Amino acid sequence: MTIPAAAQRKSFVILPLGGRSVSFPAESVIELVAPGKLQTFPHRTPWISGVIVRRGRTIPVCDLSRLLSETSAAVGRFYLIVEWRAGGTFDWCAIPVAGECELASAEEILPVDALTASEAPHITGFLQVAEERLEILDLAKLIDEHRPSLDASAAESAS
Amino acid sequence: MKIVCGQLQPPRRRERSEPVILFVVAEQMFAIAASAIHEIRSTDSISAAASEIVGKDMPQVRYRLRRGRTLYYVVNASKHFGLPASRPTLVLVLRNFRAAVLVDQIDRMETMSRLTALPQSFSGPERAWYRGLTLIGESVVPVLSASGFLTERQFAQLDALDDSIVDPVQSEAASAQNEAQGVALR
Repeated sequence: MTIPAAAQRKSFVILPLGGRSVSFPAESVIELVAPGKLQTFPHRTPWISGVIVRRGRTIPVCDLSRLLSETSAAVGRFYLIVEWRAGGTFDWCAIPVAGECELASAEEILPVDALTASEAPHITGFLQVAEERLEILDLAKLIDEHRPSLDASAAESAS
Repeated sequence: MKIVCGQLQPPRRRERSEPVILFVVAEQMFAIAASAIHEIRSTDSISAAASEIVGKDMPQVRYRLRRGRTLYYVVNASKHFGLPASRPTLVLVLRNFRAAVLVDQIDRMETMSRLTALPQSFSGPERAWYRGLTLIGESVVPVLSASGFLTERQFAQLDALDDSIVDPVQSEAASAQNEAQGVALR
């Protein structure tokens, strides 16, 4: 089974992640900013390293490498602020980016195969850029994939 | 990519101002509504009313505290939040909850004019710990929920320990001895 490819031309923001690159749909990206002062307070969400304040709004800094179970990235030169849907509301995450981000558009989004769809539902498709096949990520799904295990550990710690 | 100015939506917030107490635990600042605090005492002045709890699996709660007819469970805030060990000097006795909290020091009282919801990416027990976040100057300060220190289940477990003491006379004597001698709240 395959998920049908979208026909219309879409824009994506490509960001480096370790030795590869991944992408987010451009409509989910708010802005790319210089790193502000990282502030911390106690919490137990492993992929959040702290928060930054941007125009009076407190934005969690989310380690994308950790969410993808990869080696943690180097210190970010920028924060890519990405919007994601949390239940009925929209929330933002600041993703540290170690290198340059690019804006790319593509007519064809390569579909995900059944195995990828079941094992990595946060991958909504692939983008072919030159020789490279880049994952298109859905941040909401990626965070949701990590929630059940947290809920379980929270319940354990409460018991 | 989005144009930010037109798209920027303010986070959900309450604009009503509220007096809060800012306190410090292991160099981390927290805020709690002044209305959530029944009294603030030094650990020295209150140690005579405290007794040690034995035989339970809750390292953040080592003592119970008798205030009048009410028994409070004393939560060590640095252990509760997983912060480095600190030297608490004050006890915040909560209002409406049978919990008291060991903290290092009070920083000051402040009026909080804006409370923003904890961002949804936070997915751990911090969702129960905090009512939200506030900005004090340029610092983000978590605003504590008084109900977030102990769950109903934890209260029940602690109460069961008190109930399970076999000889109430002996237990009362031991408790009285504890209270007469006082314990160092840590």
